[in-house]
Amino acid sequence: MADETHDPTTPPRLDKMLSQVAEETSEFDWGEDGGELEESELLTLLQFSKGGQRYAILGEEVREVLNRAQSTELPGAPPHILGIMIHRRQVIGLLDLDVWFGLTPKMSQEQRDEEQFGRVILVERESLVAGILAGASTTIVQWSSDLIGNEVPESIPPQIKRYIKAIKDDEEGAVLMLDITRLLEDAAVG
Amino acid sequence: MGGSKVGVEVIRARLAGRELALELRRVSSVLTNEEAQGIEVIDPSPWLGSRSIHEGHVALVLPEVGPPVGVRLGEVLGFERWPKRRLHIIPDWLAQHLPAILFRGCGWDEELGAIWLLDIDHLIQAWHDDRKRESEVLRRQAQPQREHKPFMPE
Repeated sequence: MADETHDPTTPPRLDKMLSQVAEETSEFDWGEDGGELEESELLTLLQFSKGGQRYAILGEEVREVLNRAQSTELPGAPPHILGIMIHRRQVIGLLDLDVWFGLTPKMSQEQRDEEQFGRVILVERESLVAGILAGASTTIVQWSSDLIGNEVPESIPPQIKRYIKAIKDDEEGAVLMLDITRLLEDAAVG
Repeated sequence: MGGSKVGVEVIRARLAGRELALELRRVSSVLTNEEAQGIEVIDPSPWLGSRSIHEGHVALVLPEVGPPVGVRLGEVLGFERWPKRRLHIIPDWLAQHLPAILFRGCGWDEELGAIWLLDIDHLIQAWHDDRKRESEVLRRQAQPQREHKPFMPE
Protein backbone atom coordinates (compact mmCIF):
# COMPACT_ATOMS: atom_id res chain seq x y z
CA MET A 1 0.00 0.00 0.00
CA ALA A 2 1.39 3.33 -0.99
CA ASP A 3 1.71 6.00 1.60
CA GLU A 4 -0.95 8.76 1.09
CA THR A 5 1.10 11.48 2.72
CA HIS A 6 3.66 13.09 0.47
CA ASP A 7 7.28 12.84 1.51
CA PRO A 8 9.07 16.09 0.44
CA THR A 9 12.34 14.18 -0.11
CA THR A 10 10.86 12.02 -2.90
CA PRO A 11 9.65 13.39 -6.27
CA PRO A 12 5.85 13.66 -6.68
CA ARG A 13 4.04 10.92 -8.52
CA LEU A 14 3.08 11.65 -12.09
CA ASP A 15 -0.46 10.36 -11.79
CA LYS A 16 -1.13 12.57 -8.78
CA MET A 17 0.25 15.60 -10.55
CA LEU A 18 -1.88 14.89 -13.60
CA SER A 19 -4.92 14.67 -11.36
CA GLN A 20 -4.09 18.03 -9.85
CA VAL A 21 -3.62 19.64 -13.26
CA ALA A 22 -6.90 18.12 -14.48
CA GLU A 23 -8.70 19.55 -11.50
CA GLU A 24 -7.18 23.01 -11.92
CA THR A 25 -7.99 23.22 -15.61
CA SER A 26 -11.42 21.62 -15.54
CA GLU A 27 -13.10 24.89 -16.57
CA PHE A 28 -12.26 25.99 -20.09
CA ASP A 29 -10.05 29.06 -19.99
CA TRP A 30 -10.23 31.65 -22.80
CA GLY A 31 -7.09 33.21 -21.39
CA GLU A 32 -4.12 34.45 -23.28
CA ASP A 33 -2.55 31.05 -23.84
CA GLY A 34 -5.56 29.05 -24.79
CA GLY A 35 -8.11 29.12 -27.58
CA GLU A 36 -9.11 32.12 -29.68
CA LEU A 37 -9.48 35.56 -28.14
CA GLU A 38 -13.01 36.88 -27.87
CA GLU A 39 -13.42 39.84 -30.23
CA SER A 40 -13.46 43.11 -28.30
CA GLU A 41 -16.41 45.45 -28.85
CA LEU A 42 -16.00 48.17 -31.44
CA LEU A 43 -17.06 51.63 -30.36
CA THR A 44 -18.15 54.32 -32.76
CA LEU A 45 -16.80 57.78 -32.00
CA LEU A 46 -16.83 61.24 -33.48
CA GLN A 47 -13.30 62.57 -33.88
CA PHE A 48 -12.53 66.28 -34.14
CA SER A 49 -9.73 68.79 -33.61
CA LYS A 50 -9.61 71.81 -31.36
CA GLY A 51 -6.60 74.02 -30.85
CA GLY A 52 -4.35 71.51 -32.64
CA GLN A 53 -5.33 68.62 -30.34
CA ARG A 54 -7.48 65.72 -31.55
CA TYR A 55 -10.37 64.50 -29.41
CA ALA A 56 -13.05 61.83 -29.77
CA ILE A 57 -16.52 61.54 -28.24
CA LEU A 58 -18.63 58.38 -28.03
CA GLY A 59 -21.23 58.45 -30.79
CA GLU A 60 -24.09 57.79 -28.37
CA GLU A 61 -23.21 60.97 -26.48
CA VAL A 62 -23.38 63.16 -29.59
CA ARG A 63 -26.78 64.61 -30.39
CA GLU A 64 -25.94 66.64 -33.48
CA VAL A 65 -23.06 68.30 -35.30
CA LEU A 66 -23.82 71.85 -36.42
CA ASN A 67 -22.06 74.53 -38.39
CA ARG A 68 -20.91 77.32 -36.15
CA ALA A 69 -23.49 80.09 -36.39
CA GLN A 70 -24.15 83.50 -34.83
CA SER A 71 -23.32 83.43 -31.15
CA THR A 72 -23.45 86.00 -28.35
CA GLU A 73 -21.32 86.34 -25.26
CA LEU A 74 -23.24 85.47 -22.09
CA PRO A 75 -22.95 88.28 -19.52
CA GLY A 76 -21.36 87.06 -16.29
CA ALA A 77 -20.27 83.70 -17.68
CA PRO A 78 -16.79 82.26 -17.00
CA PRO A 79 -14.36 82.39 -19.95
CA HIS A 80 -14.75 78.72 -20.92
CA ILE A 81 -18.41 79.39 -21.73
CA LEU A 82 -17.80 81.24 -24.96
CA GLY A 83 -21.41 82.29 -25.44
CA ILE A 84 -24.78 81.08 -26.56
CA MET A 85 -26.40 80.23 -29.87
CA ILE A 86 -29.91 79.23 -30.87
CA HIS A 87 -30.74 75.87 -32.41
CA ARG A 88 -34.31 74.63 -32.89
CA ARG A 89 -35.50 77.41 -30.55
CA GLN A 90 -33.22 76.12 -27.81
CA VAL A 91 -30.48 78.20 -26.24
CA ILE A 92 -27.21 76.27 -26.49
CA GLY A 93 -24.21 77.15 -24.32
CA LEU A 94 -20.87 76.87 -26.11
CA LEU A 95 -17.89 75.33 -24.30
CA ASP A 96 -14.32 76.05 -25.32
CA LEU A 97 -12.12 73.07 -24.41
CA ASP A 98 -8.86 75.04 -24.80
CA VAL A 99 -9.97 77.51 -22.14
CA TRP A 100 -11.40 74.85 -19.81
CA PHE A 101 -8.22 72.75 -20.06
CA GLY A 102 -6.03 75.86 -19.70
CA LEU A 103 -4.29 75.19 -23.03
CA THR A 104 -2.72 77.86 -25.18
CA PRO A 105 -2.65 76.20 -28.56
CA LYS A 106 0.12 77.00 -31.02
CA MET A 107 -1.81 77.28 -34.25
CA SER A 108 -1.11 78.70 -37.66
CA GLN A 109 -3.31 81.52 -38.96
CA GLU A 110 -4.82 79.03 -41.40
CA GLN A 111 -5.84 76.73 -38.52
CA ARG A 112 -7.29 79.68 -36.60
CA ASP A 113 -9.32 80.77 -39.63
CA GLU A 114 -10.57 77.22 -40.05
CA GLU A 115 -11.78 77.08 -36.44
CA GLN A 116 -13.65 80.37 -36.88
CA PHE A 117 -15.86 78.52 -39.34
CA GLY A 118 -15.78 75.31 -37.41
CA ARG A 119 -18.44 73.04 -35.99
CA VAL A 120 -20.40 72.80 -32.81
CA ILE A 121 -20.83 69.30 -31.40
CA LEU A 122 -24.00 69.04 -29.36
CA VAL A 123 -23.56 66.66 -26.45
CA GLU A 124 -26.14 65.62 -23.93
CA ARG A 125 -26.09 64.48 -20.32
CA GLU A 126 -29.49 63.85 -18.79
CA SER A 127 -31.41 67.01 -19.66
CA LEU A 128 -28.34 69.19 -20.14
CA VAL A 129 -27.34 69.97 -23.73
CA ALA A 130 -24.13 71.84 -24.47
CA GLY A 131 -22.18 72.70 -27.59
CA ILE A 132 -18.49 71.86 -27.78
CA LEU A 133 -16.55 74.05 -30.20
CA ALA A 134 -14.60 72.06 -32.77
CA GLY A 135 -12.56 72.58 -35.92
CA ALA A 136 -14.12 72.37 -39.35
CA SER A 137 -13.57 68.67 -39.98
CA THR A 138 -15.10 65.85 -38.00
CA THR A 139 -14.82 62.16 -38.79
CA ILE A 140 -16.44 58.96 -37.59
CA VAL A 141 -13.92 56.45 -36.24
CA GLN A 142 -14.06 53.06 -34.54
CA TRP A 143 -12.05 52.11 -31.51
CA SER A 144 -11.72 48.86 -29.64
CA SER A 145 -13.41 48.96 -26.24
CA ASP A 146 -10.18 47.47 -24.82
CA LEU A 147 -8.68 50.97 -24.98
CA ILE A 148 -11.00 52.19 -22.23
CA GLY A 149 -9.58 51.96 -18.77
CA ASN A 150 -5.94 51.87 -19.82
CA GLU A 151 -3.72 54.11 -17.81
CA VAL A 152 -3.44 57.68 -19.11
CA PRO A 153 0.24 58.49 -19.77
CA GLU A 154 2.07 60.98 -17.57
CA SER A 155 2.65 63.20 -20.61
CA ILE A 156 -1.02 64.25 -20.53
CA PRO A 157 -1.39 67.41 -18.38
CA PRO A 158 -3.17 66.70 -15.07
CA GLN A 159 -5.97 69.20 -15.74
CA ILE A 160 -6.91 67.20 -18.85
CA LYS A 161 -6.33 63.71 -17.42
CA ARG A 162 -9.53 63.83 -15.37
CA TYR A 163 -11.60 64.10 -18.54
CA ILE A 164 -9.90 61.38 -20.58
CA LYS A 165 -11.56 57.99 -20.94
CA ALA A 166 -9.09 56.48 -23.37
CA ILE A 167 -6.20 57.36 -25.66
CA LYS A 168 -5.36 56.08 -29.09
CA ASP A 169 -2.02 56.77 -30.71
CA ASP A 170 -1.40 56.91 -34.42
CA GLU A 171 1.23 58.38 -36.72
CA GLU A 172 -0.10 61.92 -36.09
CA GLY A 173 -0.03 61.62 -32.32
CA ALA A 174 -2.59 60.95 -29.62
CA VAL A 175 -6.38 61.16 -29.90
CA LEU A 176 -8.05 61.77 -26.54
CA MET A 177 -11.44 60.23 -25.87
CA LEU A 178 -13.42 62.62 -23.67
CA ASP A 179 -15.46 61.65 -20.63
CA ILE A 180 -18.48 63.80 -21.49
CA THR A 181 -20.35 63.10 -18.25
CA ARG A 182 -17.46 64.35 -16.16
CA LEU A 183 -16.76 67.26 -18.49
CA LEU A 184 -20.34 68.53 -18.36
CA GLU A 185 -20.56 67.98 -14.62
CA ASP A 186 -17.51 70.19 -14.03
CA ALA A 187 -17.59 72.70 -16.89
CA ALA A 188 -21.32 73.21 -17.21
CA VAL A 189 -23.05 72.33 -13.95
CA GLY A 190 -20.07 73.62 -11.95
CA MET B 1 -58.21 87.35 -27.31
CA GLY B 2 -55.13 85.61 -25.90
CA GLY B 3 -52.25 87.85 -24.91
CA SER B 4 -49.83 85.37 -26.47
CA LYS B 5 -51.29 86.11 -29.95
CA VAL B 6 -50.54 89.77 -29.60
CA GLY B 7 -47.14 89.44 -27.95
CA VAL B 8 -45.22 91.61 -25.56
CA GLU B 9 -44.33 95.20 -26.46
CA VAL B 10 -40.71 96.11 -25.89
CA ILE B 11 -38.35 99.01 -26.30
CA ARG B 12 -35.20 97.92 -28.10
CA ALA B 13 -31.95 99.58 -27.14
CA ARG B 14 -28.19 99.15 -27.47
CA LEU B 15 -26.20 99.88 -24.35
CA ALA B 16 -22.42 99.47 -24.12
CA GLY B 17 -22.41 97.09 -27.08
CA ARG B 18 -25.22 94.88 -25.79
CA GLU B 19 -28.65 94.50 -27.31
CA LEU B 20 -31.34 95.09 -24.70
CA ALA B 21 -35.11 95.09 -24.52
CA LEU B 22 -37.42 96.21 -21.76
CA GLU B 23 -41.13 95.98 -21.40
CA LEU B 24 -42.88 99.03 -22.74
CA ARG B 25 -45.65 98.90 -20.15
CA ARG B 26 -43.10 99.71 -17.42
CA VAL B 27 -41.94 102.87 -19.19
CA SER B 28 -43.85 106.13 -18.86
CA SER B 29 -41.63 108.06 -21.29
CA VAL B 30 -38.26 108.05 -23.01
CA LEU B 31 -36.13 111.11 -22.35
CA THR B 32 -33.00 112.49 -23.94
CA ASN B 33 -29.94 112.79 -21.75
CA GLU B 34 -30.59 116.54 -21.36
CA GLU B 35 -34.22 115.99 -20.40
CA ALA B 36 -33.13 113.49 -17.76
CA GLN B 37 -30.99 116.03 -15.87
CA GLY B 38 -32.07 116.15 -12.22
CA ILE B 39 -33.60 112.66 -12.32
CA GLU B 40 -32.01 109.74 -10.50
CA VAL B 41 -30.71 107.59 -13.38
CA ILE B 42 -29.73 103.94 -12.98
CA ASP B 43 -27.20 102.68 -15.51
CA PRO B 44 -27.34 98.88 -16.01
CA SER B 45 -23.86 98.83 -17.65
CA PRO B 46 -21.81 97.88 -14.55
CA TRP B 47 -24.03 94.82 -13.97
CA LEU B 48 -23.44 93.82 -17.58
CA GLY B 49 -19.67 94.04 -17.26
CA SER B 50 -19.24 97.47 -18.90
CA ARG B 51 -18.51 101.01 -17.73
CA SER B 52 -21.25 103.57 -17.24
CA ILE B 53 -21.61 105.74 -20.33
CA HIS B 54 -23.47 108.82 -18.98
CA GLU B 55 -25.03 109.50 -22.37
CA GLY B 56 -27.89 108.42 -24.60
CA HIS B 57 -31.57 108.00 -23.87
CA VAL B 58 -33.15 107.42 -20.49
CA ALA B 59 -36.39 105.52 -19.84
CA LEU B 60 -38.54 106.97 -17.09
CA VAL B 61 -39.91 103.91 -15.31
CA LEU B 62 -42.50 103.50 -12.62
CA PRO B 63 -41.29 101.15 -9.90
CA GLU B 64 -43.88 99.09 -8.04
CA VAL B 65 -42.93 101.06 -4.93
CA GLY B 66 -41.39 104.53 -4.76
CA PRO B 67 -40.95 107.48 -7.08
CA PRO B 68 -40.19 107.19 -10.83
CA VAL B 69 -36.56 106.52 -11.71
CA GLY B 70 -34.60 106.81 -14.92
CA VAL B 71 -32.96 103.80 -16.55
CA ARG B 72 -30.09 104.46 -18.92
CA LEU B 73 -30.84 102.85 -22.29
CA GLY B 74 -28.03 104.19 -24.47
CA GLU B 75 -29.20 104.17 -28.07
CA VAL B 76 -32.94 103.50 -28.46
CA LEU B 77 -33.58 101.47 -31.61
CA GLY B 78 -37.37 101.46 -31.59
CA PHE B 79 -40.47 99.73 -30.32
CA GLU B 80 -41.35 96.15 -31.25
CA ARG B 81 -44.05 93.63 -30.53
CA TRP B 82 -42.65 90.18 -29.83
CA PRO B 83 -44.76 87.06 -30.17
CA LYS B 84 -43.97 84.14 -27.87
CA ARG B 85 -41.87 82.43 -30.54
CA ARG B 86 -39.32 85.25 -30.33
CA LEU B 87 -38.58 84.43 -26.71
CA HIS B 88 -36.03 81.81 -25.72
CA ILE B 89 -35.44 80.40 -22.26
CA ILE B 90 -31.89 80.31 -20.94
CA PRO B 91 -31.19 76.84 -19.47
CA ASP B 92 -30.41 76.72 -15.74
CA TRP B 93 -26.74 75.86 -16.18
CA LEU B 94 -26.25 79.08 -18.14
CA ALA B 95 -28.76 81.24 -16.28
CA GLN B 96 -26.86 80.74 -13.03
CA HIS B 97 -24.18 83.07 -14.45
CA LEU B 98 -26.55 85.80 -15.65
CA PRO B 99 -26.63 89.06 -13.70
CA ALA B 100 -29.76 89.40 -11.56
CA ILE B 101 -30.87 92.43 -13.59
CA LEU B 102 -31.68 90.22 -16.61
CA PHE B 103 -34.60 87.87 -17.07
CA ARG B 104 -33.73 84.21 -17.63
CA GLY B 105 -34.71 84.47 -21.26
CA CYS B 106 -33.73 86.41 -24.34
CA GLY B 107 -34.87 87.44 -27.76
CA TRP B 108 -32.85 86.51 -30.82
CA ASP B 109 -31.93 88.34 -33.98
CA GLU B 110 -30.27 86.40 -36.81
CA GLU B 111 -27.73 89.16 -37.37
CA LEU B 112 -27.29 90.61 -33.91
CA GLY B 113 -27.63 87.52 -31.75
CA ALA B 114 -29.12 87.61 -28.25
CA ILE B 115 -31.29 90.50 -27.09
CA TRP B 116 -31.18 90.55 -23.31
CA LEU B 117 -34.35 91.30 -21.38
CA LEU B 118 -33.89 93.88 -18.68
CA ASP B 119 -35.69 93.09 -15.41
CA ILE B 120 -36.61 96.56 -14.16
CA ASP B 121 -37.60 95.49 -10.64
CA HIS B 122 -34.39 93.54 -10.08
CA LEU B 123 -32.35 96.40 -11.53
CA ILE B 124 -33.89 98.88 -9.09
CA GLN B 125 -33.42 96.41 -6.23
CA ALA B 126 -29.77 95.81 -7.18
CA TRP B 127 -29.21 99.57 -7.36
CA HIS B 128 -30.73 100.11 -3.89
CA ASP B 129 -28.61 97.26 -2.49
CA ASP B 130 -25.47 98.83 -3.98
CA ARG B 131 -26.29 102.22 -2.51
CA LYS B 132 -26.86 100.64 0.89
CA ARG B 133 -23.49 98.89 0.67
CA GLU B 134 -21.76 102.09 -0.42
CA SER B 135 -23.20 104.15 2.45
CA GLU B 136 -22.26 101.39 4.88
CA VAL B 137 -18.66 101.50 3.63
CA LEU B 138 -18.61 105.30 3.94
CA ARG B 139 -20.03 105.08 7.45
CA ARG B 140 -17.34 102.58 8.47
CA GLN B 141 -14.60 104.69 6.93
CA ALA B 142 -15.84 107.76 8.81
CA GLN B 143 -16.07 106.00 12.21
CA PRO B 144 -12.37 105.34 12.97
CA GLN B 145 -11.52 108.98 12.16
CA ARG B 146 -13.89 110.14 14.87
CA GLU B 147 -12.60 107.55 17.33
CA HIS B 148 -8.93 108.41 16.75
CA LYS B 149 -9.15 112.16 17.06
CA PRO B 150 -5.77 113.50 18.21
CA PHE B 151 -5.66 114.64 21.82
CA MET B 152 -5.86 118.41 22.03
CA PRO B 153 -4.92 119.78 25.47
CA GLU B 154 -7.19 122.58 26.61
